[in-house]
Amino acid sequence: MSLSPSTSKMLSLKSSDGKVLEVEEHVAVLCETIKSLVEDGCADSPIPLANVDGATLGNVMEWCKKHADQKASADDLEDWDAEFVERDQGELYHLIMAANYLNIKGLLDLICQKVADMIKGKHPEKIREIFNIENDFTPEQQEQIRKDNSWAFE
Amino acid sequence: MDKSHKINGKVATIRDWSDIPSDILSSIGDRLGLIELLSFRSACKDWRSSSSSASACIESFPNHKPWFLLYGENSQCLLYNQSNERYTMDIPELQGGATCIASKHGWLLLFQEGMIFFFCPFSRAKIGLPQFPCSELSDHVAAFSSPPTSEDCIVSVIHRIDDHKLEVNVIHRGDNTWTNHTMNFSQQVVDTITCAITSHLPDHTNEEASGSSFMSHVLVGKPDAV
Repeated sequence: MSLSPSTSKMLSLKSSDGKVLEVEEHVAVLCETIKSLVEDGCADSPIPLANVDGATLGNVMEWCKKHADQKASADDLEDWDAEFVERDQGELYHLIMAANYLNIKGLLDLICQKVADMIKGKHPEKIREIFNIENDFTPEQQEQIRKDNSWAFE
Repeated sequence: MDKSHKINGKVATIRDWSDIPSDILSSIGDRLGLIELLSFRSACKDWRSSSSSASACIESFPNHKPWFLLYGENSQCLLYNQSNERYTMDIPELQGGATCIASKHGWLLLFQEGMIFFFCPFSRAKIGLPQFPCSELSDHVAAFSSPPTSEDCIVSVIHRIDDHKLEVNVIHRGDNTWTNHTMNFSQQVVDTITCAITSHLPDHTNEEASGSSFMSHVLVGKPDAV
């Protein structure tokens, strides 16, 4: 018999800004980084997560909780995920960095796909604007790119 | 650095994304199609370099709408798909009698007067192959196993040399000449060559054999005279 969530052991996770979150172990181990700590017996609480702030950690654990739920159907998860990624780019940035640091493949894939969807159909200028990135190409490189891609952006 | 500002009364954070690790950027790049990838790669230097190996492979998924490349007498080619996206590309390499004999992974295999070369219409990269033993092809079919940039790329071209013989020419990346095989298949036995397959056998034999352990070419003909 598998452990029912109600009897699952609790883990304390401490965010970079000092917030402590109590999370059921079967939920937290969706993060491979935490899973290794638990398996190695190094999961002394609270587990310090130096690269994840409290708000982001809350969001990440909300995703893990949903995905640890054995009763959720694939369709249900898909709908839920679609809603989960409806966030501003700042939140998505922190989620993608956290999913990478905590090594949660499912969440990382989800957000990479969301970002790819945000890029679709946009010109480079618009992409820079959405993601607040600077055009650091030299004028010569810029001209070369413009020439190479002119057929696609005319 | 996060900047906050209000959108519709809700505080939104705007983050500079230029420090996203390159493995995440390449994972994003891998989810983009042909045209989107060009935009992505034009955003900034980091985004460009991290997606250098992205190949718009989602375009090969069966549910993805195929692109058609129409070429003719002049160098103006038309790239379009069923969503009615149309792009005019100037591809001088396709001008003057070049024939596309195979395509895969964004590469075209072109034949022109005894010369066979790979050409990528998007990067304009051109990779020449050694002089082909024949200056004209008839009933030809060609295939290549992997992109020409890959170490294990094998190219095979099958064509009819006369009423009785078929010729298969194979080249492996790194070879200086084509390896020629002739087979007696009269036109009554093999009427039409419909496909060529180049593939690698799973390498579970000894190491010595691994260099040549590939099978090329399956001929599919119409056996109406058998």
